[in-house]
Amino acid sequence: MSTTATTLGRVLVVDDELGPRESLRMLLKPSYAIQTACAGSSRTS
Amino acid sequence: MLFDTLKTGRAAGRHEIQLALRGLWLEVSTYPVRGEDGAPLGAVLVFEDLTAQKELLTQKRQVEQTQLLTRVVARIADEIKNPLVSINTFIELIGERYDDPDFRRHFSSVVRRDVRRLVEVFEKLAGLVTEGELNFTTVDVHTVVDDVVTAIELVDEVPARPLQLDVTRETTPQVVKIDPAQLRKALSYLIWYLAHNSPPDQARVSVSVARHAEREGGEGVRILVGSRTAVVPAEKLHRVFDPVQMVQESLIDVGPAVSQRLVEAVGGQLAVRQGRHELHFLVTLPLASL
Repeated sequence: MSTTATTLGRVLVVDDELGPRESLRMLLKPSYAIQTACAGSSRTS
Repeated sequence: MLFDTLKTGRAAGRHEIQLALRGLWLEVSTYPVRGEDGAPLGAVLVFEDLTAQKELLTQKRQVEQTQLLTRVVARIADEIKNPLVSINTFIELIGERYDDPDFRRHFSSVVRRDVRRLVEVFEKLAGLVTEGELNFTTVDVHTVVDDVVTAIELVDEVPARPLQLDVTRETTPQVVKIDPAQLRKALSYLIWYLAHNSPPDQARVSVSVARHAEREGGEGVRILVGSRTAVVPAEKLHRVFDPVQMVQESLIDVGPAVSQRLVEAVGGQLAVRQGRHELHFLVTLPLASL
């Protein structure tokens, strides 16, 4: 069983611009399980 | 003035003069003086020192210019900050993450997109303040439109803001003498302006080329860049070609003002119209004499 998903903290990054969203995701990726969204009402990816 | 008032019996008011000595501003007025029976007795000359008012006006203008400059600089800083931060982050991570395919994929798309965005910001600013060198050449306007569409389709690889772009052509070549690079920029800025002002995921822009008869005789080419999805408030549309107003709002919104300069520089005209269902920009170019 993989422990990664259960042990990593989850972070939702919301920004309407792709650059800040993806750069923050790359920065946090090793330490957190990241989800991103381009607006408050959009679906996460 | 005094002699004129003495001679005609008429008052002469509010002539502004600046004295050579100390640069003082004076307002000079003359009035006739009459006796109780209405007979002319003489005339008076009245001086009012306007120097303090003039200095206040100058100071007010300087403050307004400083405020405008501050707003423009703040807007520019805001527009370039986000792309610079993301480019910087990706560059800093490249050493440790290069082996991650996810990183490489996003590095390629995000950095390319943000660099292009920075280039566009500086091109727009340069377009506002300089004419640049124009390289006129005779081309079929369809080739310029095709180049614009190809370039936009390449940019549109980022799925965050997909754009549906439809093109309608004339059946025959429409030859104009223009600087193709400038017209490409002008059309791109108009398309992006309409896309930016459309709801996300629903941006739809059409470009149509048509020959038309000019009022003064002769024929020209019209390029209609329109959108049924773009929504721009009337008061904003009213100042869409005013670069000073628009640059304070967004550098994307300043695009049409730059486009107008570029279109006029190549001998054409640019207008904006809000129809019942469509907002469109109309580029008019004279046909080249063959």
